[in-house]
Amino acid sequence: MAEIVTQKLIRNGWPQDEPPQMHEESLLEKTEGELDDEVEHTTWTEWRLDGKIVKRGAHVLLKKNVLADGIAAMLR
Amino acid sequence: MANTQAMCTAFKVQALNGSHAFGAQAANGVRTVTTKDDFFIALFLVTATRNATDTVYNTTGELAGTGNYTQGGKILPNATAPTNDSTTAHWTPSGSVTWTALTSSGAFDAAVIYNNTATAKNEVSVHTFSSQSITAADFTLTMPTNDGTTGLIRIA
Repeated sequence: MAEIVTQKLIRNGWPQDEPPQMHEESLLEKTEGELDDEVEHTTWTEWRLDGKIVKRGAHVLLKKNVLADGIAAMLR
Repeated sequence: MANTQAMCTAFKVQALNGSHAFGAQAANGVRTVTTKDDFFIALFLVTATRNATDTVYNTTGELAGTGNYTQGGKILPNATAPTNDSTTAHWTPSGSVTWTALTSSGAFDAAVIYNNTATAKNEVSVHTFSSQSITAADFTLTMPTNDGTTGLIRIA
């Protein structure tokens, strides 16, 4: 009986001169990172193939806003 | 060259002139605003120079229109009208913005908000963050809590 193997594939990035490719997830090195400071809370996930990033996503939570201070003071 | 977080100076003047409508308002003795404007957000490369001196949105330094990015950016969800906490007025987009399956044309570290209803596409503000390069994945910008301390745009 043939063995049925389910593989999880990941679509990589593609330079302009190459078509998109699919890679078996087990071949990729997955790393996650985080930056949390007064400006932002950012998380990212990277997938590398032979040391080269083939997929990278990020989520940025903005913390630092822009403030117009002085308009109220001028109006007082 | 670098991007610098700021509320654009020209926008401050336009705000005092009643040129932008982040929310609708009933007749209040001054005017009635029946429709609010559409505000967009666009992503800019680390090599760009966006700052408080900007007056209008343009594509200089913006991500190229490749890899599932469209120049001009995306409309900001705006279901929450400006309000105030104590003496500070504030406005924050009512939801996150996601670029799906994005491959950015380069590293970027700034998002520009502008009024897309305005003919000149007047710029509102520049928001900076750590340099990001996205490859074949989602990029999401989530907004801060909408209050007088952390709201994205505040007038104190």
